Amino acid sequence: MLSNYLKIAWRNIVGNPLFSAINIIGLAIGLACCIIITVFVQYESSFDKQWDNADRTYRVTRDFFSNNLRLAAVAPPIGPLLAEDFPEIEAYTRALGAGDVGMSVDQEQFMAENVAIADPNIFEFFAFEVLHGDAATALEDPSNFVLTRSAAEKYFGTDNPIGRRAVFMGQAEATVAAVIEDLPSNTHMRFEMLLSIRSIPLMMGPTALENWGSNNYYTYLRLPEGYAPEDLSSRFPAFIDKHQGAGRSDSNALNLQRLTDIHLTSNRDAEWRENGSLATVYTFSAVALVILLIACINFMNLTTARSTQRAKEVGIRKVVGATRGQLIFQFLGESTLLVALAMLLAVAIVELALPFFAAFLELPLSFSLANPETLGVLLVGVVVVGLFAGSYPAFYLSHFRPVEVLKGQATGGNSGLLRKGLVVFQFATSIALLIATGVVMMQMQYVRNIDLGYDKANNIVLPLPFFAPLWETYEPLKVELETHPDIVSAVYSSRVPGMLNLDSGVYIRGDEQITDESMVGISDIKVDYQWFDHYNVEFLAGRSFRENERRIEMPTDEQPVTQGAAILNESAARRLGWSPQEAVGQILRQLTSSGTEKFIEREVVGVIPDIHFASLHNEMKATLYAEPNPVYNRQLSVKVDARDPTSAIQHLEDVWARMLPANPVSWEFLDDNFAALYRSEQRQAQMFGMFSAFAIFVATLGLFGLASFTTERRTKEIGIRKVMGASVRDIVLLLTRDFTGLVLLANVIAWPAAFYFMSDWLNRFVYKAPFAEWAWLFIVSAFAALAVAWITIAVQASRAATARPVMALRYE
Amino acid sequence: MIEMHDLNKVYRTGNVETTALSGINLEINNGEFIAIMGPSGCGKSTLLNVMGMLDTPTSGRYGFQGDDVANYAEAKLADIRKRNIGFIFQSFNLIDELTVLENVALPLLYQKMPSRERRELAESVLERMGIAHRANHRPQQLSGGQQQRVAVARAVITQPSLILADEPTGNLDTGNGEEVLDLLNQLNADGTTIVMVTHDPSHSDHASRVVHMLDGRVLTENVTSVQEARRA
Repeated sequence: MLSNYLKIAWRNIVGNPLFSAINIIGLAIGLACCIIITVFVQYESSFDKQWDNADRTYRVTRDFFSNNLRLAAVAPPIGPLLAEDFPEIEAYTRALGAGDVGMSVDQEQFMAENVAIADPNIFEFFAFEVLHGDAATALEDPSNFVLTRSAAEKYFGTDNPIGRRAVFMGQAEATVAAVIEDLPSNTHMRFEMLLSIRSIPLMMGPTALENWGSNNYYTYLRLPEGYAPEDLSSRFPAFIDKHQGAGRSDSNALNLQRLTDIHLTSNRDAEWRENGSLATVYTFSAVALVILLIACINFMNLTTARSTQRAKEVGIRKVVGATRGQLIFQFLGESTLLVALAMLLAVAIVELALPFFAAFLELPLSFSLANPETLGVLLVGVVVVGLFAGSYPAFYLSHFRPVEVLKGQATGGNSGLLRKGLVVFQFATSIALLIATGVVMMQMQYVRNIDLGYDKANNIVLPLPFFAPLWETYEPLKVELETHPDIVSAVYSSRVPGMLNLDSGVYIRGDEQITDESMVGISDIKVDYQWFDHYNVEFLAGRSFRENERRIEMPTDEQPVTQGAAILNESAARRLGWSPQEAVGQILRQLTSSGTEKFIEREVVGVIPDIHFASLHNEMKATLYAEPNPVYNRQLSVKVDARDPTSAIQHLEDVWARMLPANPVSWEFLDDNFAALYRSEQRQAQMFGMFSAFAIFVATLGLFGLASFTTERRTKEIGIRKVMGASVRDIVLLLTRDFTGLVLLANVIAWPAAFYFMSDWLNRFVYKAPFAEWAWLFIVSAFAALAVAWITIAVQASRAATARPVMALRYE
Repeated sequence: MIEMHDLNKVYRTGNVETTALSGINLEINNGEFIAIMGPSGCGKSTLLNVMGMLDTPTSGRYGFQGDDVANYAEAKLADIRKRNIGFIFQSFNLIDELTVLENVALPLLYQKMPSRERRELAESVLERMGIAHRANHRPQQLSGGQQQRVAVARAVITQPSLILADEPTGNLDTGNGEEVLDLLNQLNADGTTIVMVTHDPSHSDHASRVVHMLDGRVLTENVTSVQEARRA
């Protein structure tokens, strides 16, 4: 029985090459997309599950309400104080992401990337594989550090540099105490070097670890098994009030994140590295399933379309005793066999395509058939898809009554209507995907072309070593740089455009008393006095800083009030209740961390428009630009005016090497940094484009098959019409007309759906392309879908129409 | 009207050649009623198809109203066809999806006649054929005889000078068959040239001339009793 079914199934597949090819290719593409996306999803959800007790390890995060900051890291005293106040916390550990740090080994300069400064017990939380030395005790000593294997090889040329020494920022010397394996790629952490947190008081001052304003320490807690994190986090507001002062929990809050949730759900400011996104995972899973669904619909449509071919077989089988159940079983077997063949092709496609996909996403994705679990999943996939795709055709084909079939009376019934509905669905999803791709690309375009309010072109930016003894060097460095004819100007600032600015201060209007209501939180950026000229920022009112306004004194016990200047952006002026013109000349008091008695009095000297300082994902904030201060000279911007910047860059590197010999130079073009801000969207756009192309291709395959069957079914009609004088054009029009209606209907469905989803997607951006800029996509997508449908059908139709009419009538 | 000289039609299927028509010489004049007879597979239908330009000869000359159409392109043939020839088939060849009226009006559609005129003309022809009351039915709802009358109506609606009928009575009972033949006789009497393929010797009596075929060749041309009677 089974072998008979298999034989018939096989003959059906071989005997209908067009039908089989369309189904196998379509299903293979759908299955391949699903496999690739599954591999991707599996990888994305594997983050940080490898650590011991990962399910009860939490990261503490901090929110500041006044300037809408959602930080992934907290201040250094928070970890120890939490552990002290809440004895149920089993352990805590902290790590400061220090970014790139200059380092020298035997006089050779390096820029150590992603240096972290951590508590000695970090290895208890994260069991990195230790290759050399004793990691557990390595960071007890403030002058020790730990490297990853690649870093050891890169900086010491050996994988065992235990005992070798390195000098950080030209000053602090440290010894290699352990080497660990490189970090797995599926962790939210990123570092190649760990320094001891005990070195921080030595480098940054004895109270550095007690600073509640330095929210740069990723802090992890281990809670007891079965402990609900809410039981702890509900007591955080009281904790803040206790340590920071009553009522402070109104302005900031602490939260807990499960370690394993960080990668997909945390999208906070100052994350350790760019995290994944649950929305992306869902979106691409949905798109892959849609492609598979379109392929399944092809199978359903093509099978029922040629049902008259099978009707006779069904009738005869029933006459000789087959039950409906047996026939359903037979047809399901056929669909499953077909899906199995498609799966073989899909696996081949995955083997070929996955390396490209992985390289494109820069993720270590892999797929291996050697894994029995994978094989099992694929088999289950074959059966599920086979049963799903085959279900409707099986029930439909098996319902024919033998008498009618054998008398030739069995007709398509209402399957024609369902078929049309499914074609509409296929095209609607394809069109929606096409529009979605277009909108994503339009938004990218829009972001690239938006007027940022300043001129970022031709700027080279360099981070400066954060090391007090070097500060005196920065002024002469700038002067030296500007001697080169191609260098227009060089300016310092605490941040450069494109960076997220997390610095902020508390300000009060000079004419108001210090109360909770009068205190306003405003972001601040410290900039060089020619910074606004350098970046071509226009002034709404007032003027830029003057040379004599540089370097103000911090308030001290002896001099509790010091004077300075400030430039506001429009939002900041508005927050303080001033128009740009009113603001100029006003006095602002900037509170310091050492109480309300000590403050800086700043005179507002100018107001600039709100400029898009950070990525367009973020809103423009109320911002105060403060006068330059060597402590905050963290970034150097160098504007080059030359078609070929090579000579200027050479000069820059030479001057740097001469004046900052202990620190390696590292520069980037600001434009490149900006491009990187939107890279994940750019990639999403490209992936979307790829997937839409697949969806449309599979839908077109189906339409091609359907058109060919329809044409075949109408051969006689075409013949008669031709005998009656119809031209080729008449026939092609006749056959395309029906499908044209379906594609138009598909547009009616796709348009609102695409509009809804894409408006929602655009809401992720603070600055989004207006509808007018992408409305044309709807029309273009409609025409594209129509064109594809017409070409597909016209090819079929013209073949039938140009045949001599006697051919059409002969089969009588 | 029709002149065929040494006309051949050969079908090739793979390496096998089948000669359907071999050295056909035939002349048909305006106003004739020709019956083509012969056993199954002798080439009757092929001859009719070539005559109706539904198929092209492999070699030879086919003159239609003075033009040698043997090598005309399909589009040109379609044009001559729709202006001059009406077809009637054994299996009626009506389009199931169209109503009786629409089926009859179909040839006018392709002559770009406005829809109102098409409708009026089709109604009048149906009236003449005595099936006007079925105008809005579908072909399957009609008896065989009625369907064939619809087919005849469709063939004559363009007032063709030539009607080709391929066993028009083959699927009909005797009564209905006679009715169709009467219709054809009437058309012939009105001046339309008719070429009819038939198996039935009794039907050939309606013709003015009978062409006998065997194995793709024309055997004899008999002048039938009707014609003899007329001559007499």
